[in-house]
Amino acid sequence: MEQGRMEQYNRETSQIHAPEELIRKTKEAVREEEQRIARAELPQKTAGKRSCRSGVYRWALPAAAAVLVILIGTSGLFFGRGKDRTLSESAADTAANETAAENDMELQLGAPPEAAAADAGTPIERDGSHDTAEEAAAKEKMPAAAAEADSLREADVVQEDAADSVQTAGGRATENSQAKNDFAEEKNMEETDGLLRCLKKFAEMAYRLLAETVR
Amino acid sequence: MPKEEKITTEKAIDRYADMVYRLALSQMKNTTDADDLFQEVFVRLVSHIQELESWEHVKAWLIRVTVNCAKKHFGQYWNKNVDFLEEPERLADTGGAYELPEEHPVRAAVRELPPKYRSVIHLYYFEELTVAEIARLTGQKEATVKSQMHRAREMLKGLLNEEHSL
Repeated sequence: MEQGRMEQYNRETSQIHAPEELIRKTKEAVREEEQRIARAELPQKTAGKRSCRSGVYRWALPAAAAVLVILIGTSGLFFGRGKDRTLSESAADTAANETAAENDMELQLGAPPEAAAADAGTPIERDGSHDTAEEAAAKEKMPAAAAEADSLREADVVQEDAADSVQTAGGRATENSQAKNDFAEEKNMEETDGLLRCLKKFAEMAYRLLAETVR
Repeated sequence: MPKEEKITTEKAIDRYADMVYRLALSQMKNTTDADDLFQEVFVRLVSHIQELESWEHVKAWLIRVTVNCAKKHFGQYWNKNVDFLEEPERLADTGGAYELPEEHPVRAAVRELPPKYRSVIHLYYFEELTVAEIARLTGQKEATVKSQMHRAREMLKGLLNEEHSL
């Protein structure tokens, strides 16, 4: 019974054929679709890109982008950390140098060198002596000039001493900071080497992965 | 060794037009929807034709896509909730100069079944596919296909007996 019905179904169905008109329209639609796809693929081919149908192009682009982002992020982190530390260290060193120099100067001089120079007489005060008579001025000129020369020499000596002391204090501070810098640089180099090794390994791995995918 | 015939969409239309049309008609409730489904399937084939290696692959692909497109069609709100009262007429002056296929009682009863039973019955009895092949093409378990076959047969029996008793 059931078999008979199914045979009847088969007979009925086999009488159905796709209408010619529908086939013609479908072929036209297919041709249009083919042209549309060809037009869409043309710019990609001229640009020398890989076809999307291979499945590589779709996969490789996001992977490459991800690798790039990771590399940029890692290097940015590394350089940012190094820069911050250098700036803070140099700022601390400068502040230490200045403090040490000021302390030494105060200890050695007791007073600033400008005051000593003022006590010995200034060129302005010396010019004020021109208002007296010429003879008196001539008499007074020689000892005044000698005294002026002496005072200038003394001031020079005081300034040189002060400069020496500043240099010594600065030198001590520089030595300290030099040692600190050396230590920091060594540490920095070790970290850099480690990071570079990691980056190299990562890049090799990514390259191998991409090469396998392309193959 | 004979040279393999190149697979193109137009050749696929010539070869499998009847098969796709019959399957579409068995799935859809009217010929307009069947025509739309027929065109949609072959237009989709254009972008997949290069992936298909043999005519057997093409046939399997066409059956799977036709069934899936029909499922999608019935999944839409409008198609789920709105039904045509009559078959829309085809008019010769609109370019659709072909006639409706003559409706036979068994085929009419099959079209009364729910869509999932229709495809199973059609593929098993008309395309002569095995249960395993139907399961693979429709993405279901073999047991599911078997139970669907059983229910479809029961429903058909009921529908045809009802018709004869009338």
